[in-house]
Amino acid sequence: MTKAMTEPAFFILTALVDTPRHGYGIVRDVAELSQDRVTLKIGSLYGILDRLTADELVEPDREEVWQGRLRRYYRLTERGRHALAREAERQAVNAQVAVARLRARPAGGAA
Amino acid sequence: MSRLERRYRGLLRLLPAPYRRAWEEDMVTAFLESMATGDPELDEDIADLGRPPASEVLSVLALAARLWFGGLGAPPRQFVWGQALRIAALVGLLSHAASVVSSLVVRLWIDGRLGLIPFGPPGVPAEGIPVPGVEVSLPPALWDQVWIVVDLLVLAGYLALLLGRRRLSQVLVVLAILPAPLWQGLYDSELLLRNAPRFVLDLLLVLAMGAFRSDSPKPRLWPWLLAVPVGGLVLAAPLILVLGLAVDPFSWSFDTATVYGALLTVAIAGYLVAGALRPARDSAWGLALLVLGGAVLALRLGTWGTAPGSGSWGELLVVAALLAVGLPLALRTRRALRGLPQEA
Repeated sequence: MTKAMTEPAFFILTALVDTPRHGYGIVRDVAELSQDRVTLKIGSLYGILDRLTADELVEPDREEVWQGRLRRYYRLTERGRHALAREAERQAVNAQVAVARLRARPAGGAA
Repeated sequence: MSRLERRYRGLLRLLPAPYRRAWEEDMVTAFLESMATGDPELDEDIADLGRPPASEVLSVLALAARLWFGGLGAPPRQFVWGQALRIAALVGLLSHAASVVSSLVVRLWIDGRLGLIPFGPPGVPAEGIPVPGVEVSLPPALWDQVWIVVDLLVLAGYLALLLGRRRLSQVLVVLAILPAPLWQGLYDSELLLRNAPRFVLDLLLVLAMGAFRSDSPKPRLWPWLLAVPVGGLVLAAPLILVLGLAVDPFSWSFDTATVYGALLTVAIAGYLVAGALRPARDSAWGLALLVLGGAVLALRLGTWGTAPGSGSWGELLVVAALLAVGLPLALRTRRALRGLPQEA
């Protein structure tokens, strides 16, 4: 059985689907995507980015200078795209099962 | 460089050097961006006076712990650090589990149910061993039941850790270590103060158990299980011997730090001798013994002069013996660690 992806990792990969982003750009996009449920701290972000890079799900895209500082952008790899699609599928199936069960047994129904 | 940046870079020094080389500049940029408010005046104040928020500090601490105390697949040096902390945590928890067995053995001996031992406990009253200078008021009967549960929790916590249920083990151990300070807070606040270093070490033990992760190698079950009764007998033996020979144990500061200090001195000396005979030994054990030596030394110094019979040669002897074997071990372990690559 493969290990389920953590929620922050899921949102980081999702944030990189449409365009490469730099560190703080990922933090902001993850907060927006999760409606502020997932607020990444910088230490946590780079801990996860390090793992995602090692697993070849994410890779550096380019570096840009911003206000005299180096900003590194990250992009989703093809492998990362597949991993995210698989995880989204898994979550969708789980949600369908739960919704079907909830519809079959509405609140207050007998056990 | 602003003060805020200097402070954040200082915090990042907790991370291993190879990791910093790869990620530091990027982390600093992202952190400074996250602190920007858009108001130039306020941003200037933050850059000059601000500090990394506690949540950022915690996230870097958690990252440092994960990187330094690595599991399988981590760079060799970080793996050895992780393995050493796991061994030290396991031995620390074993000492608690063995204490449970040792209390049981001593209790049976006092009750005269250990026929194998040729002498009984002279002068030990039914309510326990008297501690000179300490007024012990017996707790209500409820507390007797609590101590039985605490003993069971310790054993269950140890077993859970061996079986790879780390979080469950941490919960069980926390539940096991809480009643003692609670009881002492209620009945004897002076005793609570004296035992504070021990409780701090117990909390550090729970934190150290965090080094057991999904990617950590599993400890071998049977040797560690067998160590509980063996350790219990080893801990019970000196007390039975001293009491059986009618020597006042407190005349030479016969307390936890003394016993653990003596046992650890023997263990470190044995490790050094074995290392001299067969040099290619696992340096994780050496590092674990150093961590444990530091913990016992801290306990000894933290409880210095507070134990009954303190001021005797026992306290000084433990410190001297630990330093005598600990220093060569530290030098050897340092050499061994330097020989390991920091990167995979």
